[in-house]
Amino acid sequence: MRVNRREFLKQATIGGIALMGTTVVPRAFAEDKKPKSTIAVVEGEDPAAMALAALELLGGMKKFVNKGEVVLVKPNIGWERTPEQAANTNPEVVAAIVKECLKAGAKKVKVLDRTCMDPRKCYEMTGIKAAAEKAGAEVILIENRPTFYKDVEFPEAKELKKWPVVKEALECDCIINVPIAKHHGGATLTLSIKNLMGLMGGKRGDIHPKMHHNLTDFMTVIKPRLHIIDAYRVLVRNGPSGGNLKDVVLAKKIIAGTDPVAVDSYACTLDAFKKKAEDIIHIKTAYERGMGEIDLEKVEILTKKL
Amino acid sequence: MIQLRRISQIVFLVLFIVLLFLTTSKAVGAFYNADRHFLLNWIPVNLFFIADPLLVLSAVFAAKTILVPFIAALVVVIATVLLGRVFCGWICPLGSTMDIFNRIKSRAIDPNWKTNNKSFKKIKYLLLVFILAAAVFGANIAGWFDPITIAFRAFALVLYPALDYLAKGLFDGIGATGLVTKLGDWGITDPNPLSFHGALIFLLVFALIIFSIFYRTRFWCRYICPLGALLGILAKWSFLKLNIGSGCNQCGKCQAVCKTGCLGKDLTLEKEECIQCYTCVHKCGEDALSINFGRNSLPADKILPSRRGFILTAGLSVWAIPLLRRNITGRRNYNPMPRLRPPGGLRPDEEFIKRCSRCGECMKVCPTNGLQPLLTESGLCSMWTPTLVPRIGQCAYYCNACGQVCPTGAIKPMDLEFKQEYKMGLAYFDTTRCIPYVFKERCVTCHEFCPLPEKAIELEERDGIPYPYMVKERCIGCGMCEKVCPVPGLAAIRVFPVNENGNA
Repeated sequence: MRVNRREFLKQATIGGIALMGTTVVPRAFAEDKKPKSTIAVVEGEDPAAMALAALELLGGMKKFVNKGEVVLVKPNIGWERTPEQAANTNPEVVAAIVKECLKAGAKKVKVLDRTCMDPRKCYEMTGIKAAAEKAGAEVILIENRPTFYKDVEFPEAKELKKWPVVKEALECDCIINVPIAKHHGGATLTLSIKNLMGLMGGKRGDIHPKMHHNLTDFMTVIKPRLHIIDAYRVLVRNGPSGGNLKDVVLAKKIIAGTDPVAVDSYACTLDAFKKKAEDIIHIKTAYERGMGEIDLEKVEILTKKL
Repeated sequence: MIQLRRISQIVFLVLFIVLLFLTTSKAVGAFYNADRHFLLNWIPVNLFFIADPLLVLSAVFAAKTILVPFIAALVVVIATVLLGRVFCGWICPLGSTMDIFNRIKSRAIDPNWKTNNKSFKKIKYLLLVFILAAAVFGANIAGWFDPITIAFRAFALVLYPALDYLAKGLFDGIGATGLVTKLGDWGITDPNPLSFHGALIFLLVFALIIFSIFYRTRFWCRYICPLGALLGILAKWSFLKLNIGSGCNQCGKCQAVCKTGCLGKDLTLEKEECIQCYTCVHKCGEDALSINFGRNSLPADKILPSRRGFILTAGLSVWAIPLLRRNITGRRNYNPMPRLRPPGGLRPDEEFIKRCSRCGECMKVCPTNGLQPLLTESGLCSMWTPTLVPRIGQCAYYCNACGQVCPTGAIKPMDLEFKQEYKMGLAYFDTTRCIPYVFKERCVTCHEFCPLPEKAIELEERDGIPYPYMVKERCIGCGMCEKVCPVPGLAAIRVFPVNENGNA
């Protein structure tokens, strides 16, 4: 079959646009624009059971994960710390969510984070690798080589015009964000919005100045369907790396929802932190850019005590 | 026997490379979270260095101590007295590499074999005397000339990083990233884009030594190698030696094929030079030669320099003090960026330089690539000793590997808990570069990353912006903050060494 010039140019243009499309607008994680945000708050003693109960309050994992989808579970695995030191997401919570995703019919569940410290050491010490693999997930180590990232342009950006993003996050069908709630020197608190930094490549230090803009710019493209904050053990001082058991407090809560601003806003008010979301600049910026509801009066809060 | 020798050479070369790969703190597994790295604890990865009599002797002379583990080196010494220079002919990885390249030489027989250059052979003995005498005067420079360190530095600091880079690029390129991850889990590929300061010099030295065989077989071993000289002196009395029986028809083939040119014109033997390689025995058409414990039947040829030569060289070595040890960078506060030694490195720095054999083990094992060889920036005497460059890699909080692999104890082995409190330096803020101080913008990256349970960096809030400051007593100088400081180029927080009392 011969292809004439016009045909070739036409095909090439269509193909080119399609390719550009995959770069600029990764497969959508379209968030339902609900009139009112709903979050679930569960209190209890067993982190895994609490995570399940929170999902149940929100209507079950089937509501978020469709059959045959590739799901990315993104916990915080950033630091070379044990679960007791509360610098990383509780491995039991991660394992419970992985199991739920598989039960809901996910084709594959991937667990990964771009760590702050040596990735192998972090994956080991946090216990997340062992727990997630046991639960049936594929745990993917993210290193600093360019092969793990893809440059993404952020058309609606204020600061972050272009930045490398972890490829897996662009290629999956659904992201479930599973942060740990903890104190953070730079950001005051690190909750669901800040946890997404673990899907960014590049030089992390460059993100820190004007972090609130960088993070919200990032969220214009990367939109997890669900945020589940592990606030069972929380670090109240010396975050995000911690390392001192004296700084760890048992808050015994799990907060889940589709609205990142609402879950973060609630997490700020926990007794361990006693903060107002309006005072935390990156959460406030996300609210101002219409990414969620900061005013808890306007949020439907479903609670359960185990 | 020649086959046996070749097998031995290959076995030891493979062992050398296997130990090189095992010199890692990066593999996942049982040894990774343990207090002491399992592998490093049970496998003597530094075997070749602790068995090297030259390095041991030089460190002993320089540091005036017998603390270095010398048993393995003693075995080599005893073996040499019994069996001659088998270490050179059968074990030495540099020698084996040379012999491998020898096989691709177009002419097996050196056309210049008749010019024996006997006087040049004395160079290595005088070099040995210089090294040992300089060691007595406090300059431990054996590591510059020792064949094991030359081979290790070339293999571990140049060839391995290059292969690592190529392998990762290749496998990533064909989409086999998972394979790279798996290799990394086993500690075979490195998590860092490995590179070492001035490493090309190691390759050049190595290549020069290897390719000198095209001029003359085992050129390095004949004329320069100080370890060979040391073993040669011991081999003078060795029981195992080359002997001649009846049947020799004076064809001269043995002299032509000898790797080290130790057979003289009238079938005299320079016993110190013979490396028991069996080439002559193998090539002799009349089966007249053999290596055995019998009485000497070949007249000995004198090769060692005269006593006067030895004494003169030893005397001249006194110049090692002004030439090598004195240097302007040693003056207090001369150097704007003084060297930061690995954790547990002996203090004062003089003691470290005397003990360090510049082998590169610590640089190979360092998980962050932060340990780098010094060139001459801290004086000639510090050349190729390790320094921590936090901007490249911090001293990892959960790692104490360098002290475990150091063959001479220049870096003290420390339990992890002890090391995590060991003050190796102190970080200083440069408020003319630090982002909050300069731009009044939020940035507390250093505070976030400080690995200590009690953060050494505290924050003071002014007008809603946290300003970091250092709590001197807590900082251990690991360099994590310097590593992650987002200021381009020179970091706004930098680590400087502290003295033996841990004070700045």
